Amino acid sequence: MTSNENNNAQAFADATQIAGTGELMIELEGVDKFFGDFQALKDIDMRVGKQEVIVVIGPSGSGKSTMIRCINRLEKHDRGRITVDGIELSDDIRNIQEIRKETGMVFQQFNLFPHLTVMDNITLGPRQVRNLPKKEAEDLAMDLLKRVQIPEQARKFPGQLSGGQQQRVAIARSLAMNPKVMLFDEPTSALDPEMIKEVLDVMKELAQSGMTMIVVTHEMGFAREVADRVVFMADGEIVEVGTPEHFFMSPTEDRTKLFLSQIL
Amino acid sequence: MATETPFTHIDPDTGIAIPEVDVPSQKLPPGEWLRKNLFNNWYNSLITVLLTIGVAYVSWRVLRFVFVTAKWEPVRENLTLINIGTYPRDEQWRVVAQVLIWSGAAGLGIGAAVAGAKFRALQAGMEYVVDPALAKVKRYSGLLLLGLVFLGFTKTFGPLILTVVSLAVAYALYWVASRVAGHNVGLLWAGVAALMVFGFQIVSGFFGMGWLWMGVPIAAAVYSVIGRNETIEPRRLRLIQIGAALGVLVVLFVVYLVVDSVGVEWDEWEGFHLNLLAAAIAIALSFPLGLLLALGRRSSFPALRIMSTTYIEIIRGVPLISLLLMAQFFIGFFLDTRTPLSLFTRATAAMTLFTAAYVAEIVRGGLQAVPKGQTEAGNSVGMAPWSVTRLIVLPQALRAVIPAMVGQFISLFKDTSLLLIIGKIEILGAREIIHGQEAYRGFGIAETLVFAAFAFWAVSFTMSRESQRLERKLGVGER
Repeated sequence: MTSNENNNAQAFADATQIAGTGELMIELEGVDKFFGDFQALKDIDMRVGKQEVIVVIGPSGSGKSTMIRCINRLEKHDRGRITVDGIELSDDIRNIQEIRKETGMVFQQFNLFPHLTVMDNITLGPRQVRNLPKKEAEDLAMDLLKRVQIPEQARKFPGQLSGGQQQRVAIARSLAMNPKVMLFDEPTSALDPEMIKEVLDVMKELAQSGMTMIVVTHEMGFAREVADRVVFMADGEIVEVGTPEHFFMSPTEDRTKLFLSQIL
Repeated sequence: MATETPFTHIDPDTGIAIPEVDVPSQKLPPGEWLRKNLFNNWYNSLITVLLTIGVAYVSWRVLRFVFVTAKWEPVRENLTLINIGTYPRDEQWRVVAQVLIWSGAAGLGIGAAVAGAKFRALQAGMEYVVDPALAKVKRYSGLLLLGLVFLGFTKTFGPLILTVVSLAVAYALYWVASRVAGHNVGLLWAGVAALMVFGFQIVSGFFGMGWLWMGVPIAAAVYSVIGRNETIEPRRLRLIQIGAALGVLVVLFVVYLVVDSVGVEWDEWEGFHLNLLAAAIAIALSFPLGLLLALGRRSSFPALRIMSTTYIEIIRGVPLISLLLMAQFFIGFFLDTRTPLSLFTRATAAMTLFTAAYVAEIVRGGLQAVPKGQTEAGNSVGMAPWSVTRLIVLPQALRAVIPAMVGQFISLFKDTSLLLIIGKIEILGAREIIHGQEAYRGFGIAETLVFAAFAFWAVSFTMSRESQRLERKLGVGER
């Protein structure tokens, strides 16, 4: 990829082109996924560069969540190849765990562990998987809680926190594994409107710090402001890819235009 | 929606935050209340009147029986027989010591729960509130009543002194435990377990593999103390912990080989004491076994899954009494007519195996109730499947099924009366001895039966109250 292509919005019309530093981080090649007879993903090709921020949008049922859930094997893809940081996803559990260690995931419903304190929610992964001593794990957790701006909640239980605070803890929990990629599955969809901003702010800060991110969201403002590329999916296919300017100002595909006219 | 849900306090026993709930209290004056609830139309009034007459009649008959017509002499004269059957009389001090030690364990346990709750409340920045004393009295009203009846029936000062001393021991240990710093609570629980086993040892004497029983909680305590190290890597730490715990067991095994056996054979445990001990042991053993079966049934290994399922379905398909009869006769034929296992051991094993199948199904229900997102969250940080089950799914599943599990254990406790049928002198068996005596042949049969039923009720009711309280406390503030 050359730099003059980079400036050209049309260059991103192909999902296999990458932005960011130019080094390849995630690659999906011809990925199919079936739920019974229903085909959720149809021949998905996508490449994500290091430090790139991809925002995936599209109507519900279009396969956005399924796609990112395939990347860390919460769903098993049926055909094609998925590679994360040079490791190809296979059925080997050790291989899967390697990839999961490198990919953090933030869920729509937060999925914090209700029986553990905020501190224990965050330190569980590092202690169990990265084998960190308790003291070190707690220091790390405190740093992350400061980064998501809620250090004072460390000893509380998730049930005592607001939705926005819970989601920020969930982000801190993922970051504690020191991942190379962060996947966000509609992180603000379950939040009350006044809490959306605090979560998006944390995500923006994360993007600026150079994290590679794939974000499934309906927050168009976030897509416009933060995304390097926007991916539009419908019916299990990638319909259109482009820079935010290209995507919101001059989309080429009819389905994209229709979708944008419905939501904007 | 407020940014912070108002939580007022942490529950002292469970450590779970209790949300503030505004219930509009509407208290009516008594006359108004009666009119509104019991006499609001003609047929409700009729039902109220009829029920009142019925309840009054039954109450009168019951009270007249208890206080006027009943002949309690067979019970009064045979309290020791009812309690411990024909347990060797010159070894009775063992039972007394056990009562004292287990009282201490109870006090230490309650204190540990309080200390833990205080610690969690402090850390979460919430206020710690003490249960009102009246609520505690109500919760233990069954046991209190049983104790009072005993004291009322007895003719010596022994039971009174024992009651006072054991309450004093319990309170002293409670006082100490509730003031222990929060991060030492794990140690307290290990202490509780050690006292429980020690009490068990006293009553059976130091014979057989008893020393190894003792070793388990001590090893657990050593394990937990080492686990508090905050600077060693978890994997290395776990190796050190396991090594030290095994070391404790090996040392005790050597002691067991060296020390001579003294004490009372398990088959000499009798009376209500036998009901309590058999239930306690079967409960303690059926829980872990049931847990393993539940996990086995959900396992991805077909062999494990089929074995667990087969076991559960077979055991749930046969009556407990048939298992007990098999334990009495069949196992004897099967192994050796002079099997080294005591009848008590075989019967308790049968009850354990029976209850484990039910516990397994209860736990499986709890496992299914934990949302899939919890497993996914654990998986997404790269945790191994077994760690996800052990640290994320199981704790939540077990919390959810405590009420059902306690129900199963109450049922097990009452089923210990079936030991009568295989010839063990439990409380109902002691009753048969009483009526074999010259003085009480055919005399006071209803009275001894009522008393035995009352003893079962007192313990079961307390267990059920405890479970209701847990259910109430666990149902809120969790999610």
